[in-house]
Amino acid sequence: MKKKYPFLVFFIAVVFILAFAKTGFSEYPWPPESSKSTKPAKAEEIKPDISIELTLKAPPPLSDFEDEFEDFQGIEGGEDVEYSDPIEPFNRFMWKINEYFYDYAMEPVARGYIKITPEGFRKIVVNFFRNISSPIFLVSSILQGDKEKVDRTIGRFVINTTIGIGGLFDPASNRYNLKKINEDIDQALGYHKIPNGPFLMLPILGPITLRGVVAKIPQIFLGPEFIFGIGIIPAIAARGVETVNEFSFRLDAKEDLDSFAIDPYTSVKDFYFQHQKTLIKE
Amino acid sequence: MKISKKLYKKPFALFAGFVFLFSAPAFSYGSEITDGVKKTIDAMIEVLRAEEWKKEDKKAERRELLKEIIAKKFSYYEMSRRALAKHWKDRTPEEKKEFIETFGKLLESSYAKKIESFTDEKIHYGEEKVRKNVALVKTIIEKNSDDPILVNYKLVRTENDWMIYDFVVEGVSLIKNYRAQFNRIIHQSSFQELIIKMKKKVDNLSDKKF
Repeated sequence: MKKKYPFLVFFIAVVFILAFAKTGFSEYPWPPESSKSTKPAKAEEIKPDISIELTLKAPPPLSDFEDEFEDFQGIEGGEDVEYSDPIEPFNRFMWKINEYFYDYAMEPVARGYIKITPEGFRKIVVNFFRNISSPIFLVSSILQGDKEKVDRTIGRFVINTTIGIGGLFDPASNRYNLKKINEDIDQALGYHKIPNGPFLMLPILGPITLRGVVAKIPQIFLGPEFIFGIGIIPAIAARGVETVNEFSFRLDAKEDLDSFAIDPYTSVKDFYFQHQKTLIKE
Repeated sequence: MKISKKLYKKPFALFAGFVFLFSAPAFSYGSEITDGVKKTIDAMIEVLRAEEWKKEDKKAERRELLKEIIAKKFSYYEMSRRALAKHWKDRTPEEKKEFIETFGKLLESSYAKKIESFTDEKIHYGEEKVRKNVALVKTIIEKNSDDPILVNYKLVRTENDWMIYDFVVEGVSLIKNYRAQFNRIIHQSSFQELIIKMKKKVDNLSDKKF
């Protein structure tokens, strides 16, 4: 027994480890990645030797892990991110115009629309317009060299147009687990590090950047209006329905902005840029 | 022989003890952080789903209860520091105290209102990342056939617990958003003007019925 003692302790330790491992990971849908990281961040590990500096490749971009904690560097002394807004007084004036438009036109129309249309119908409208935007998703994905998204866009379009009855339904997501895509030419330009340019608050259309405006031009030729030769008036009417329909799902967000933002214009501007950054990263 | 046996036993015992002592915390460390977030959210959802708190005359009391639960897990100090960022170090201790109190009230109302809109959502707790004294807990909120919403919680280790200092909804950080607003107001006017505006907003929220 005395001779076997060390082995017994070792055996108990191994059993304990295995028991904890199973308990720790089994409860959650995705097993957590390695818990406590004892390795320093990649940026701290890079200490190039001067003699071989010229042969080193550019350091890898921040991993998702570090990128998510980049704001930690901005505490008490870091530089704030400043977005180019050279015509801010004009933009703020446009913002006020848009607020009146949303509060006295869009919101009552959207609330009336919600009352007369069931949620299922409104989702069908979303599905339809998302499906006919597939050429834009496809070109954006090609420009970003994202083969997986190219395949997924084509797959989603074929499935939703056929089984989904002209794109009214979304079996690609629900049955075939092909996640929705949200791409446009502006994101493709952002992916290739083309700067945003100045921030613009357009009447009715809302926040955008100069890059976003430029990106809209090629998108005109990828839209169904151009592909199917739809006239201007029917095209505007269709986009009007799409806008009201989309807004009907965002009434809560508008209410939150009104309730909790101290400076709503800056809040919307910051939201726009953070959201764009997330979409480009995806 | 006796000496050699003792020498033989010690390294093994030390090794086993080392493995025993340090492996258990390493495996349970990550789940403890997610557990903490889960417990807070579950506590709030329990309040929302309890029949006694659904009555109209109980809404104000329910809101206060939710705020209490939130206050135990949100670090208003850490949120305030990050929201003011470079403007923090110039503040006097009294100004910092006033800011933390006011900002805390604003955040409580904001988060409580969002959580009150929960009905039958399912929350999935996913990936967790830890780096020194900060952590990230990823969650997905699913509701019927709507698109799932990604909500990430950022936590910092304090003396007693892991406390939330930011939450990121669909890639948009709440604290970064407030930081942009506060920076702008301080540049255009002053810190005192910011406090006045925040207090006015908190008063409006108290008067408003959700």
